[in-house]
Amino acid sequence: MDEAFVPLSEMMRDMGSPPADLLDEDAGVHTYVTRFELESPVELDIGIDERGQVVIGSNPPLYVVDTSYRPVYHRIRFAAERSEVSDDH
Amino acid sequence: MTIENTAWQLEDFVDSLVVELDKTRETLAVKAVNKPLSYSVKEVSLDLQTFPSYDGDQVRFVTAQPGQEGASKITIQLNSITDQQVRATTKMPGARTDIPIERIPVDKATKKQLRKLGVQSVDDLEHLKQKNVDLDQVGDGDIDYSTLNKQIQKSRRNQAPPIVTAVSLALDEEDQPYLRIEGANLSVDPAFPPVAAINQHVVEVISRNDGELRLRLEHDLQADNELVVALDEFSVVKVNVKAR
Repeated sequence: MDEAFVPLSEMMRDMGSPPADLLDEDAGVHTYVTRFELESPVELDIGIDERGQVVIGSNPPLYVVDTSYRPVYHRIRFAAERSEVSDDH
Repeated sequence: MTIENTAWQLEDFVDSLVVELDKTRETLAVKAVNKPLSYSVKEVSLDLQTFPSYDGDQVRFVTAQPGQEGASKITIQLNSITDQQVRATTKMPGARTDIPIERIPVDKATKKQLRKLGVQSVDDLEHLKQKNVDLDQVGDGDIDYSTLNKQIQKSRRNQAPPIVTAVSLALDEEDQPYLRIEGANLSVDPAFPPVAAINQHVVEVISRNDGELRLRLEHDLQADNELVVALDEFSVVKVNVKAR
């Protein structure tokens, strides 16, 4: 994988960090995000490692410079929902 | 180190994508240990710009490179699925005795036909047989089932090869000498009567079971004897017996 790219799971983890809860103690209001969806163009480096497994490297678009020779943009969308975790998990 | 822009198969790509998603979920699960409220990924969709190719057997994809135009778009969408749905739609991993179709020595075309019919292993075939499904009717009719059956039996036999642990001389109730062959997996096909020869003379098989064979001795043993037993269609045992 090209060193400019990271595994897809790392990119999703970094892009998908939800905003922190908003807490206004004076007003007694606690606001939080229940679900968020993210859609972004993404550069992918898909190769095969020495064990024959497909390796998916990814990165959000690195450059904003408009050039005639542009990278190929794929697109990723994902949704995450807030859920309560019970103690027995 | 990876080889860039190598052609990949969709199945392999989806496998890797699922592994990446599992890693994301694991990270979130670790976070959830500290926080009672957490976020879980519910849906993922990926649009890929690729160039597909078909070699007559498999479809492969190459990711579009910078500057390339006219790529095809593949959209892969993974939705969340409940554990109940997983149980209902997923075949449990094969039992220890199950044999994957890949390991049966039949031609590539037969394997491809079977895969098209959703048959991944010998257990799948047995399951269809039990349901009285005639694969000739639903398939293209070009699978040679007699050859396939033989190869399955052969593969099964390879999983349970015959083992000879001891050969000894004994006397029956009428004081007639017989040769006792002890071991394991000596009689796996009830429809096939074993054939035995000592020093190239065919001898009678008095009795047989999985752990023991008894052979009638009609001639005296020599100092060195060659014992050959065809236990079934796929296994022949050859043993040198020294008489003292």
